[in-house]
Amino acid sequence: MTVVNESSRRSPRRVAEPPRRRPRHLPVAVLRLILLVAVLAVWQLFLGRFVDPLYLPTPAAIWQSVAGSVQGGELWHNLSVTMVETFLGFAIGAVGALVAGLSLTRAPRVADVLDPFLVALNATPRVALAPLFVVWFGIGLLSKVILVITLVFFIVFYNTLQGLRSVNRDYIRVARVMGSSEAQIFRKVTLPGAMPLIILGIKLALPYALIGAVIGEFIASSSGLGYQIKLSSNTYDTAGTMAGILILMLVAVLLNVVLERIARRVLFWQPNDVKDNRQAKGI
Amino acid sequence: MINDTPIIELADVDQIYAGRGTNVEALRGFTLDLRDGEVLTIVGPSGCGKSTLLNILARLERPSRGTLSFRGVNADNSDVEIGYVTQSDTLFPWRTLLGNVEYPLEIRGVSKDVRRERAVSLLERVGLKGFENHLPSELSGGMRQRGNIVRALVYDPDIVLMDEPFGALDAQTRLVLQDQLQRLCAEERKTVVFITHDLQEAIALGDRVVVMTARPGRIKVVRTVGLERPRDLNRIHEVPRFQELLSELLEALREEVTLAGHGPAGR
Repeated sequence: MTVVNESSRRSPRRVAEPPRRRPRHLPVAVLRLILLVAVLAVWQLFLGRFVDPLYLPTPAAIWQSVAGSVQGGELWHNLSVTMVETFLGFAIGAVGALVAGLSLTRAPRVADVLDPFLVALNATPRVALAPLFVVWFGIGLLSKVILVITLVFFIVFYNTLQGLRSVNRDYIRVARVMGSSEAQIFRKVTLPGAMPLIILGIKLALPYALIGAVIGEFIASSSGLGYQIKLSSNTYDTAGTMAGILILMLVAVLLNVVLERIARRVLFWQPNDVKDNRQAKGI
Repeated sequence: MINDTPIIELADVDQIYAGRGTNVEALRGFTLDLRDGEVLTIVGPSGCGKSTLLNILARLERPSRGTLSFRGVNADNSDVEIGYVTQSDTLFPWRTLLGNVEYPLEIRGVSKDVRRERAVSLLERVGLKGFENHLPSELSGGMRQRGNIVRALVYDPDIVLMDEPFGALDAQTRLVLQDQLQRLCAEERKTVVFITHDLQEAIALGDRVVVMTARPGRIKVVRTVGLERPRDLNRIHEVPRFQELLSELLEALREEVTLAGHGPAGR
């Protein structure tokens, strides 16, 4: 009955529509592209007249700088250096944080003892430590990787702890009554239940990994995107600086897309509105 | 009959929680025996220790005093298997319906084929055929609760504990699920302890009904329902014995609810 009613209520509207064509909405992607082009056009055509291009280079100049460093081969070299630092630090930091988080949850007493020290370490501005890291670990790969690790570790660590704590107690109780061993509960209930926050921590940590690598390069290095940016700005090559920043931005966006895909795959069971909510709130 | 050792035996159980300053006494002197295959329903004012009682039976808590035995063996040493259904929905959201129902068999090391067959056949019996591969988030509340019940039965436990399993469902769905539960438990010959705050549900489903007192929870009244099975839940209200029990137990319950400081239960 209801079905028939609904379809009969809907069909007249469908029939009525064609003559008065609905205004066509452009796809969001197209609107975004239009916005981008408009901003770039205004920048290119007008800003140069009011602002000295030495301070604010035009998009065309930035593009030329990017093209130049691609042709010269520096871009690929610098990019790969920065990526290696980022990924090494990210992987070591994240895995270490996961292991630490998982084991400390199973050893609450140790966790209790360590708690104030971890809080203090986390409160320490790691970026301010970066010059020390250079003194300790040299100007090469190691000092950057260490800096990245210190940034990534705490983000993933605290999210892992939070995730493990946030698992619905009733799931664990029910699993226990069903006869699960403690190891089974951990592996099959607690861990999957904690996954949303663990993944979230990993997602949040990734941009910090990139930032850590670049800041490390700012402080002391002989290659990398951070080095390229610093070198350009030291020589008042603002187009080169902006080119480096542009590349960094593109890399960050790309990495984010990849991680987001992985996250959706791992958290396939989360309804989409939950994920969207989280993103909207920036959690 | 052959074995008249009660499957569940609670002897003089107290449960006291250390609170801030004062201790909270949840249960006092609780003594109760259950026969094999019996369905016992428990009603009582909210906060009377019903859930505490169920937690003790589920061995999630130990009684502060008194003993719990299953088939004459102390609960700590008993290998009795227990199924547990809570009011809140506890299907694991990261597993499909089938994966959830298979979980208890999986942790018991049952082979994949066997557990699939058993899970699928039980799901079919509660009308969930075709939803095996759905995630809990894709199912309605009634379907999820059916899934919970099936998961608690799939490993053939000796005892099934239910804590207001239908409390969150609408009246129509509840009636359907009550009927399915009644048939499943009869077919599988389960001993059931079923907590509810709906007295009609308690009488309709139970072989015996316990009315608990306000905190600290004790047994106020126990009545044998004595209606033959299978029962037609749609028409059970018309049976004189049902009405007689309902008015007697409603009176008993009302006294306790008033004592507990809540309004009278008008259901």
